Amino acid sequence: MEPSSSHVVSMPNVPGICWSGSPAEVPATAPYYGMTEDGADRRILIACAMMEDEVRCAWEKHGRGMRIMWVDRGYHEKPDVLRAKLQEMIDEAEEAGATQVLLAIGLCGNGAVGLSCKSATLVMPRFDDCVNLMLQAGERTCRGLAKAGVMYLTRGWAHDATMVTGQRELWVRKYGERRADRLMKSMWGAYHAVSLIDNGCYDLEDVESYAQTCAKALDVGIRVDPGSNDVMEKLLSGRWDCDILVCEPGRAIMQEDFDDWKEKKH
Amino acid sequence: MAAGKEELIEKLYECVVEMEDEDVVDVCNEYLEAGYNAYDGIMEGLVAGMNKASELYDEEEYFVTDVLLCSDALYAGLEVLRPHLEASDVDGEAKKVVIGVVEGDTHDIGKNLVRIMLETAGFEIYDLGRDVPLDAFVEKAKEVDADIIAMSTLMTTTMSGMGTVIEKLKEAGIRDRVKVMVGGSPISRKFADEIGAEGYSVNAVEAVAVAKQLVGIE
Ligand code: B12
Repeated sequence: MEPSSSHVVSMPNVPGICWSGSPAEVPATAPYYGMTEDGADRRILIACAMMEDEVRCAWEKHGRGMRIMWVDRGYHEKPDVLRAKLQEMIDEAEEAGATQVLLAIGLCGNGAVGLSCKSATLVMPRFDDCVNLMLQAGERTCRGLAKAGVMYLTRGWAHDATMVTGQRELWVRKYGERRADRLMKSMWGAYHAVSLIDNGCYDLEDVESYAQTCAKALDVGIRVDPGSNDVMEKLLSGRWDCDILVCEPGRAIMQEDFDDWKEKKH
Repeated sequence: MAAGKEELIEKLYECVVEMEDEDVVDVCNEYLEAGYNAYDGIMEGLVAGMNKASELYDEEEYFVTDVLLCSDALYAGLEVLRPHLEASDVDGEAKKVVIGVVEGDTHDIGKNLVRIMLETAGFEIYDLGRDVPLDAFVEKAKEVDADIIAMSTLMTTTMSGMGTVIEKLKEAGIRDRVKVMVGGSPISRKFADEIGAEGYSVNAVEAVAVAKQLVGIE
C-alpha cells in the first residue's frame, strides 16, 4: 500500500494504545502513521544490529522510506550503558524531526526502562529480549517462550563476539589453560542444546557451521525452533496490537509495561 | 624466621584479589604452621580480599570472569583454614539459607557470589543451583527448616517466579517461619516490596548484612 500525501497523522487515543482486534482486523488504510501533513515520513527506527536480518525483512515489506539508526549489538552485555546510548539516539532522532521513534529492541535487562521522547511517540515491542521476540508468532501468549539451558542462535547472534567459540581462546591467553577450562564450565555448563531460530529472515545454512562449532564446544546437540517475524512486522507496519508498547511524548518506558497482564486477564 | 601474622594476612588477601587459587593454599598452610588464628585469616585475609574483588567489579576494573576466579581462590583457602576454626569462633547454631536461581533462568554467577559471601559469614547453605523449580524452594525450606530463602534471577522474564514462591510458602503455611530475600540485576527494592520479600540488596557484600539483619545477628 502506497501512502497518500493527503493522509494526516492520527493516533488511536486508547491509553497505552492497544488495538482491540488482531492485526488482520486493522483497516488496510490505517498503518502509515509516520506521515505528516506535508507527506514526509517522519518515522525513525532505532534498531539493534543483533536483529539486522529481521529488521531488514520487515523494512522491505512495511518500512521503506523509514530511516534506520543502528545500535551496536555489544550493548546487550551492559543494560545501563545501553540505556544511555538509546536515549542519546532517541534525542538525536527527535532533533532530526522524527514524530515517531520506533525501537527494534527488547527490554534487555531493563536497558529500555526510563527511555522517553519529548515530542515524538515512542514505540517498541513488548518483549523482554530479542530471543523471545523472534520466537513469537502471532500474538504474545506468555511472557517468554525461550527455554532455559538452550543457546539460541540466529545469524545476528552468530556474529556476537562474546559467544562461546572465541571465549576459550581469549581466556587461555588471559588466564592460562587450566583456568580457561574452569571458566568454560561455570559460564557455559548449563546448556543442553543449541537452537537455530527459523524465522525466515536468514538462510539457516549460513549459521550451520557456527552452530556446529558451538555445539561441539559445549558438547550438546543442535535443533531448530520455529520462529517468526510477526512482531517486527507489526512494529514497522503500524499495526500495533497489545504486543506493541506505545508511549505518548513524555511518558517513560517502565519495567511493568512488560508484565503479562494481558495473558493473565484471559 | 616465620613471617608475621599481619604479613601473612596481607598475603592471603592478595592471593584472593590476584586469583591465585594454588598459591593461597601454601600461604594458608604457612599461616597455620605459624600458629595463627584461622578465623582472623579467613575474615581479615580471604573475605577482605573477596570484598575487594567485588568492589573492583562494581567499579568495572574487574570482569565477571576475574571475580569468578577470585572466588575459586577464596574457596581453596577456606578448605584449608576452616577445619581449624575454634568452637568460640562460631556463635551458636548456624542459620540456614536455601539459595537458588529461579526456574527458567540459568544465569548463576551472581547467585554463586552471594552464596560464597553468606557461606563465609557462617550461614549454612543449601544451594539448589540454577533453573530451580519453584516448588523446590518451598520443599527444601520445609525439609531443612530454613531461616532464609534467597532467590536470584538475571532475567525479567523469570522474576515473577519469586512472587510465586512467596505465594507457595503461604499455601504451605510456613510463610511466617522463613524470611525471603531476592536479588539479581533486574530486581529492585520496589519489586521486592511488591512481592513481599523482606530482604533485597544490590550486591553480594550487602547481601550478608541484609541476611544477618533478617535473622537478628548483630
Ligand atoms: C553473563 C551473561 C550470560 C552468561 C551466563 C553465564 C552464567 N553461568 O551465569 C551466558 C553467556 C551463558 C548467558 C546466556 C544467556 N543470556 Co545472558 N547475560 C549475561 C550478562 C551479560 C551478565 C550477567 C552476569 O553474570 N552479571 C554479573 C553478576 C555478578 O551480577 P548479578 O548476577 O547481577 O549479581 C549481583 C547482584 O545482582 C546481586 N545478586 C544476584 N543474585 C542475588 C540474590 C540475592 C538473594 C541477593 C540479595 C543479591 C543478588 O549480587 C551479585 C553480586 O554482587 C547479562 C546482562 C546484564 N548485565 O545483566 C545477560 C542477560 C541476563 N542475558 C540475557 C539473555 C537473553 C541470554 C540468553 C537467552 C541468550 C541466548 N542467545 O540464548 C542466554 C540464555 C540463558 C538462560 N535462559 O538461562 C538477557 C536477559 C533478558 C531477559 N529475558 O531478561 C540479558 C539481560 C542480556 C540482555 N541485555 O538482553 N548470559
